[in-house]
Parts: sequence; C-alpha cells; structure tokens
Amino acid sequence: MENAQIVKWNIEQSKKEIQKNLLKDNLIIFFTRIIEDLNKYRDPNFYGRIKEIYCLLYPYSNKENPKEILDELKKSDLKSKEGLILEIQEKKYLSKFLDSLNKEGKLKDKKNIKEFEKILDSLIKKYLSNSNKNLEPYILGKLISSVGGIDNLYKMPSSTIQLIGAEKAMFRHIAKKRACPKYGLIYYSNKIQHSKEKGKTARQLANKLAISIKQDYFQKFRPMMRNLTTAAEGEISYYEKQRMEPLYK
Amino acid sequence: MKNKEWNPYTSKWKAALRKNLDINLKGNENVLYLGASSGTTVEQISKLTTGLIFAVENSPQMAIRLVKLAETKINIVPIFSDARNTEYLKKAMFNKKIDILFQDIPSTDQIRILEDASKLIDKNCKILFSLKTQSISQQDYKEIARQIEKELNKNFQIIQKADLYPFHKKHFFYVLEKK
Repeated sequence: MENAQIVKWNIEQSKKEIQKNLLKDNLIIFFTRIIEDLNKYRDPNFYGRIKEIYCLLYPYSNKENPKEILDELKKSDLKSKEGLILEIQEKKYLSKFLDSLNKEGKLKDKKNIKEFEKILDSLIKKYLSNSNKNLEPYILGKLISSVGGIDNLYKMPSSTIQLIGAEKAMFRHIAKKRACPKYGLIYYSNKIQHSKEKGKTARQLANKLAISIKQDYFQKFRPMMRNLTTAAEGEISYYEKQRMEPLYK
Repeated sequence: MKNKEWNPYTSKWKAALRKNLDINLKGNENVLYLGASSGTTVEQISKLTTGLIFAVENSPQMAIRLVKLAETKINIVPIFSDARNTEYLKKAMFNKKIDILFQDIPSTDQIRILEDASKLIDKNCKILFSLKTQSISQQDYKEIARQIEKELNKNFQIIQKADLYPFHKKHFFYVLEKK
C-alpha cells in the first residue's frame, strides 16, 4: 500500500473510533463547570465554555473567534456528524443555555443558577442513577470533572475516590509525614456534614460510591457490557493477557 | 499553522538532543511514536524525515488535535488506540518496516508496554525510551531508575542514558537496542 492511502485509511478509522469514545459525561462536566463559574465569579464571561462545547460537537472545524461561534451555535440545530451526538432532550438543555446568553457572552438574568442546577439534576438522574442515591449531583459532577472523565473515575479504588480534591494534603503526608487527610471533595455532602464521626462516614460513602459508579459505567456509558459480571470477567481476562502485575510493592 | 520553535521544556526528544545523545535522524526513517498526545513533538519530527510517523494516542480530546494536525501534513499517521493493543497497531501499520520506536507513556506499566511493542520491530531498530519515575513510585527517584535498568537489561541493551534534569524533573532518557 502507498503512503497516502495508509494516512487516509487511518484518519478515517480514528475519526470513527474517536466518535465512539466521546461519552455523555462531557455534558455533565460542562454544566457543572458553568455552575462552578457562577458560584465563583460575580459576572462571568462564557466564551471559553462555548468554545468547549463547540469543539465537542464539531471537533474538526477551524473556527476560533468565539463571537462567530456563538452566532453559529444559536442558529444551528446542534446536529453533528463527527462529534458528540445529542438526544432531543439534551439539545433542549443546550439551547436553553445558549438562549440565556447575550451578545457579550454573559448571562441576561443573573439569577439563573437554579435552572442549570435542575438541568444537571436531570442529566445525572439519567446517567448516574445508582450513584445519585449516595451523593448529591453537584458534587458528583465535581468529582468527574476534577478527574477528567468517567473513564478515569470508574477505575479508581474507593480509597482514592475518598481523597479526590485533597491531593496537596495527601502528598504532604507522604513526603513530610504530616497527618493524613480523611476526605476530599466528598466532605461537602449532606451525609458527612451531619454525622459526628466524619472520617468513618467518609470511608463508608466512598466504599459505596466505588461500587455504584462501576454499575453506572457499565449500564449507561458502555451499553455493550450490560451485565456487570460479564464485564468484570472481560476486564480480568484483558489484564491477564497483558500480565498486569504491580512492579514495586 | 504557524512555525513553532522546538522547545526542550515541552518535548523530551529535544531535551535528549540537548543532552548530547546520539538520536539524530538520517532523513528517511519510519517512526512509531507511542504516546503522541496533541502532537507537538510529532509536528517537529515530521519536518526531519520523509518516512511515515505512526502516532498512537488513547484519549479522545488529544487525538482530535492530532487528527487535525495530520490533515495538514503528508506523513503523519494518527492511530487512535491503546498502546497495549498490539494487534490493532499491526493492522494499522500495514507491514511497514520501522526504524525508530519512541515511547513516552507515563504510567506504572511503562516497561510492559515497551516489551509488548518491541515485538512489532526488528532487531536493528533503535528504541528511545523516556521514563517518568514519579508515575511509578514516590520514593527516591535515582533508586527507581536503577531498579528499572535492571528490568530493562533482561530484554534490551542500554547504549546511552541521560538525566533530563533542567528541562524535565525526575525524568530519564534511554537509547536501547533489542538483544
């Protein structure tokens, strides 16, 4: 085969594979970051976030001016051939967000936070229904966004999930032997706030989360693997094939 | 796209060149590049050779940028797959002979990935291996490098090595050959 054919075949093939691997957790991350921005700043500008969602829907376009992108997104019907494919309800959520922006990329009505929280609620009830029983939607979204995606989160053991967001204290403990942190982002959940033994409940909550996130991942995000047991068997055989042993203890 | 300078602080290949390792390109090599990310180093190497560069990347966000880059150049081949999945790599490379294997995947099983990938290449192929000790363990980094050299000596022969200190902290760079 000639070189040009090899390049062409691989570009087409990897575009297909990339589209399969763009999951809906990107939407959850998007809306949690909007709420984070609104809580953090007085009158935030959403040009950066608009670029993010545009790159998800139309990944191979070369537009960079955010004003043009905002105009184009408002007119378009949010259908994408090569990027993330949205359902009808999700398109409504996105267009709700786009309509609430003015020309400068800021919110028209500054008391709109509750609407976005409702959107995040419904998204998480759909995709992370099992883990929502244990934890509030906003904190779940924060967990996913700080790790960088559900693909990374589902692999983590419970002890790591317990300490997400407390990395600085954790590494200080390892290097300088200070006191070990007991909780990270989980700390703001209602269960831990109202309990007397906070370290203990944080451990229990993280244990339950580690199980439920795996359930959600294999039920909703990768629907090829419906049954949890078959999925686990597949994982084990995959790692046995690759001889995955810890190098150093 | 603009012409960017090759910065040793962002690229490990350039940092190794600054450390006087013998890794200059002749001009017509095929390169297998594991862990290409968004393609900052791949873009520079594509100028130096006329052969193909097979750039392997696993995360979708970075692979999108890599595909965008490949559409503007002639000799970059973007492959979206796990570097452990050697069967797919074999299929995507169409039996091209590879002259240089570069591996830059900071994870705990870095050596295993290198051993598996070395089945794809011939004996006289040059192997470049950049090691991040922090991703393997938080202990003393010089001792970890020593332990890893022991493991490398089972299957490979170490020709040159360097500490990439001022450019990258706690990183090592090896030039290897198959035994």
